[in-house]
Amino acid sequence: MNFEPLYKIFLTGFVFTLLSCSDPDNETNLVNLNAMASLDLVSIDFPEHTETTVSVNSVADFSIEGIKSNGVDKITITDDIDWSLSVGAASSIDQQGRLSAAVNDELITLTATFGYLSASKEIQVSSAKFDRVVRLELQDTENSVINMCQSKTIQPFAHYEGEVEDRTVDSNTIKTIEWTATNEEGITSEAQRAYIEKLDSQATLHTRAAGNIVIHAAAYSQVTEENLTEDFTQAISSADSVDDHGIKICLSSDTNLSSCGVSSVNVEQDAVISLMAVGKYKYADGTDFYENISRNSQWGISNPDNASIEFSSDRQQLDVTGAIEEYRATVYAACGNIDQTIVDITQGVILDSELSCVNSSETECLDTSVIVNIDKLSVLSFEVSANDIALTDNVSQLLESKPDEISLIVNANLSNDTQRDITQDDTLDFFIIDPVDQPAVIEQTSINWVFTVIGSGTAKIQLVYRGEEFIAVIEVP
Amino acid sequence: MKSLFYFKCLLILVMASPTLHAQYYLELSPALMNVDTTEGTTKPWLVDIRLGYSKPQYQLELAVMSGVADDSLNQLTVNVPSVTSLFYHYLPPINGSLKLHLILGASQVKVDSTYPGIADLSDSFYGMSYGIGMEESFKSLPQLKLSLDWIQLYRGDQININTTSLGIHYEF
Repeated sequence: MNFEPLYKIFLTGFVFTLLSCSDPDNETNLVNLNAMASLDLVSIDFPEHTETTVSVNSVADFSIEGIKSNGVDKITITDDIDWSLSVGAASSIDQQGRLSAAVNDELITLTATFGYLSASKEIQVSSAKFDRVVRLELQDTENSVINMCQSKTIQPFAHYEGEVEDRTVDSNTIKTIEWTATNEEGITSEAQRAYIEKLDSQATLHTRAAGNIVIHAAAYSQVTEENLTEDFTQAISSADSVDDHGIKICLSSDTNLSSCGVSSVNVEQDAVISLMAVGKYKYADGTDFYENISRNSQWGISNPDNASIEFSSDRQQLDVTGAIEEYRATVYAACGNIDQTIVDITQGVILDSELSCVNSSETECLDTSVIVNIDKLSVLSFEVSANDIALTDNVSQLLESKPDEISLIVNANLSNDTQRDITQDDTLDFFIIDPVDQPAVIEQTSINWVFTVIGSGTAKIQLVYRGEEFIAVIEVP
Repeated sequence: MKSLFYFKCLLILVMASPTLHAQYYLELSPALMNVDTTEGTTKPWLVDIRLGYSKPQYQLELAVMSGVADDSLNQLTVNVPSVTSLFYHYLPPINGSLKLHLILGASQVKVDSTYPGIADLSDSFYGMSYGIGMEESFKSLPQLKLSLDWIQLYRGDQININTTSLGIHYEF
């Protein structure tokens, strides 16, 4: 009896039955546990200063921290959080933790779930009117201390009518705040120590030099129904916190800011090399950290004809373009008060001159420099002709008749995508390669690129320019 | 229950099949299991026992595995108390003593997990299995073979479970 068909029927049914066996719902338990385990979490919670009041018709972003198994370390969880609100809430929340508050007052419970862990917080959606900005915090700072040449985001807190505690300015009002920063002593000969950049609702303080400044926050008060400007004095720390000689120049491609640093760089004519200024700072506990401070540094250059400098579009690096071959320039970077006059710092400071720190005081100003050598352009290829007949490198070219002279014209294709006639360039060398066991065909004239024809046969001329060579091979009939 | 059904089918097929050139075998091996989720991976060890019926071109076998060593991912401990599988091995004709196995079957994998503060969990995953393997006979004792195989026991949307085993195969 042949059982082969039975096996085939069995196996076919077996395969088709099994293809639909995956059960995604059944996988949730193990996936949730692995998600928690991969971050080594034992619980989650809202960050300490999470807002518990949100204005009606505004949006507010919430986040969650995970507490690790040692009970001490915390990490911000960014993915795989399930956000939800209490049943019946008119407000809504998306899965990125952005709450869209309802149009009327309500008390809601906000719940975040990560794996088997969850955390909840009661949130009051409030129709209280915005009164005024009452204090500022600089994000990621200790006691709102900012060092010279650093940039920090400003977090404004406001008083709302009828509410006891201050809270962060709601998303609608924060867009309307007008920010300015001035030196504390008012208008003097000293340039601005800082300025404020506003992008949408976010204001960022960019600092140039140490000293006190006043931040002005102007906003429309819904309580008094007038524009109110509140002033806040902010100290910018001096180089005591920047550490001795805590500024250096690195290549923008460097990723390890603690170990990077250059004293000289090379760039070809018309080519660009990108640099960044790096500041060395200290945390309160004495440990060092490094930041790219290019946008808040002041830049200058000696011999601006030899090279030019400009910021990249995001001002995170300085682009240096070589201008004249075999010349050099020095690029300077300074953090703090400099001797040179500065008119406007909001677009970044770049001067076509050398920079020097005022008073040579290391606490008020730090500076550094890098030498930029402009290299010769390298040769990519040659285009050579003999008596107007194009030649190919090391390929014999037959002339129609025997000329009295052979005159070469040499063009070099350069690395900046330009072509240059180098026939009369002093650094272009011509060498006649005499044929073996045959009489000479050509001889040199007093002009380097012109040769007298003295016989028939193969004439070879070696051309050497900037380390590259071309062999012209000409058959003289 | 479905595993039992397939096991009965296997027995019927074995009993009803021609016995010419047919051999029964037993295989014993340690197996390293890879329980891979989108968020993390654990690798418990198991002992793998297989009973099978062999013909020149194919094998039908019942595999039973049991966990012998847990694995941990930080606070998570994963144990696999049991795996039950039915496999069909297709043996493509190859000259020489080395045999290649193309494996198709079904498996039920039970996974126990513990995590501080969470009630212990036990989940069973059932699905199609496939894999590849090879075996080589000992010259002095042709019934005894060394076998190596990798089998994807379960392939889900967010979880993949596979084993790699190296064992001894004895044909009666």
